[in-house]
Amino acid sequence: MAILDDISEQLQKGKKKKVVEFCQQALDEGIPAGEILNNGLLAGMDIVGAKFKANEIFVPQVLVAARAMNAGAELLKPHLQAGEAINAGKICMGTVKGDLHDIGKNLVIMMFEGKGFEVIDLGVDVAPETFIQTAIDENCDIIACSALLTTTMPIMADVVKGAEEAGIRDKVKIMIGGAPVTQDFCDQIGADAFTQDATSAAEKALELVGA
Amino acid sequence: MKEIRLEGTGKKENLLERLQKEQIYLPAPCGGRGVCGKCRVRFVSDAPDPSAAGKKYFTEEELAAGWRLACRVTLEGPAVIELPDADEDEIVAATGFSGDGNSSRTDSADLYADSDAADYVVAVDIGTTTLAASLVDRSSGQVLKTVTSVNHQRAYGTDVVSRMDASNNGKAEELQQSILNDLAGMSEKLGMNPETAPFVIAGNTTMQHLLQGLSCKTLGVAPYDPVDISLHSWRNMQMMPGISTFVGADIVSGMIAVDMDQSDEVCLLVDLGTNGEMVIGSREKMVSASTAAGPAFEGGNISCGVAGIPGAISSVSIEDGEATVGTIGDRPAIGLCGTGVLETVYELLKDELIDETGLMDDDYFDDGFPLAEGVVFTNKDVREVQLAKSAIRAGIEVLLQEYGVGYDGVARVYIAGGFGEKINQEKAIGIGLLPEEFEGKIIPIGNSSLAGAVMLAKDPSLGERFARVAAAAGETALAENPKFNDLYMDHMFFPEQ
Repeated sequence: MAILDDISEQLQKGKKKKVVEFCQQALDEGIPAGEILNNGLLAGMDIVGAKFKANEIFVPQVLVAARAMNAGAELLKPHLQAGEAINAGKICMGTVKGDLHDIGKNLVIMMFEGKGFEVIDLGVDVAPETFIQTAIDENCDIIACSALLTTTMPIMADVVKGAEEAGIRDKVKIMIGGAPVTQDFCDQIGADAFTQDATSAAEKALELVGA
Repeated sequence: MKEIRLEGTGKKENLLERLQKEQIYLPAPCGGRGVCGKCRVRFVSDAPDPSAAGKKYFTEEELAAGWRLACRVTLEGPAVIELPDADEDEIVAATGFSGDGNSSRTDSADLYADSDAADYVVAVDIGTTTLAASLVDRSSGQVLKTVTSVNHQRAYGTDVVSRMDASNNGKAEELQQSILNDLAGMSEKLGMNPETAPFVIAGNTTMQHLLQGLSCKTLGVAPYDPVDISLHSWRNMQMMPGISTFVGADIVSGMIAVDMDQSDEVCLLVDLGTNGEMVIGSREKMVSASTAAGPAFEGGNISCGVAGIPGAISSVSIEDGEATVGTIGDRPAIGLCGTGVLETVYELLKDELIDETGLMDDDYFDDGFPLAEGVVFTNKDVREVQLAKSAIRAGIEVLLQEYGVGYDGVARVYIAGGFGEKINQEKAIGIGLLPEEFEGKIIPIGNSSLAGAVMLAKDPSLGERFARVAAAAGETALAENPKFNDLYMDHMFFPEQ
């Protein structure tokens, strides 16, 4: 449908107002909200993710696209039928204790949301207990940890250990990432997945929840 | 190639760590995590099975010839290996200092010191990459000779965080020994006894901690508390004072070298290194900050990036898609140092080969733009520069706001850092690293850390002034400032040409 392509296109350009306007128009035309979400907003965000991964677009463009997507999603929310809502799964994400870097974490959150996940942003300097408690309280499918320093990376091992001790390790998947993190490190601490970039993280998350 | 015979020790040991222990230098920018592919060694015979990382960084032929990554090899028995010749030993450390951008204040007359003279002091700048030491005659106030060296702690990783990490993982003594050896090597070249000669030491906070064997455990995790950054003596060395873990004695040294604390006008000092340290101030007040710029302006994280070594491209011009380059020492081009990186981006923008979002022209998007034989500049490299320059630019803007002046309120802008050659003002402004309003006020100052150390070496009574400045300069946290995050995004794009 042409209007959905328009939504996707304006989202890629980061035109928040246009996206909201076209979403309203699509609703007025009687297109179900779920379809607008999937084939308009999320489809556009998929393209943004792919272009970012290929270096064709950069951080600020992803940021404005994500803002446009969120504005569109806000408008659609009340119109979504049960089961149509953003429901790929629930993720709590944060930068680990001792580490104050948040740009990378924010990008990953945008990509998660772009794949239809509900994300709880725990911020930076997050203690292992906070990850665990949030996962329990909010019934999260995935805990995602970011670390940008080799000196703070070891905290990720504490998160894995904490999940085991809390008895939720079989219920929750643990994803890790950040510049110094490697697949070797992921294997070593027994986390479920490591990805190199934000786009791959979102793809991996879908895989992990079996969607 | 250098051949090395290793005896069997009977216990399993990582090859890179073994070489470090034996003080055999091998580059390991990533600190031994198997992700940079630089710690190349060749097994003359009996090569172990290649690691997954090794397969990524070597061709089939190289693997068959015995090439492996040292950090991925576990050794037990004896082995004979070959190391590539280390061109890194040629890194040229900046030693000159020019407060006004022209004349050099440090003379380096080639005189050998008389070791018996009591008035000789060795002033040292300990950089993460390079070291510089000047022999100062206190009685005449003259610098007799200046020598430089690579910081061989590089074997443990390129940046300060990987050094902290190595120190925290039981290598504190090895790191200390490494820098003591380098200091001894330089003082011998200056004709001084490293054990007894008086030293004055300026370095960033991590370098000073490693030298004194202080724990780096608190340096790498928030709230990033240092152990000791006061003005104090350690053995035969006078340690210069720092402001914080991020803004160290090297910066305080630079502040005094440009007389910031005695200036009536407000001036700004920016170091274009990984930690992007910056200080603004006058005799009234001084405020510092640091921003995670990354090593792009030192040639780091750039696909063909190198330190300021002979053959590094340091100047670039591009006309109609054709590049003309100048290199350090006029040697054949082997890669790009920081100034080459900055100039390349500017020239690509000017020739419209990248747009203001940082996207490269279709013709070069896949393979990068060719600068010289074997040296290309990729779109990913452009992205690294965007991150670095917006971190610096946003940092400057927030620091000025916190201080309460506009761009026109700044009289002089001093630029320090190890980017190879002198930074080109027009090009730095052209890529948006510095604002247009700074035009005509930018002064590249070379090694201001060494210059400050020399000042203290000449006149020990200045110690109090250094301590006062370090204590008086406040620090503002940029990462927690929402204004910083907004500006960081805004400045990631390039200005319209």
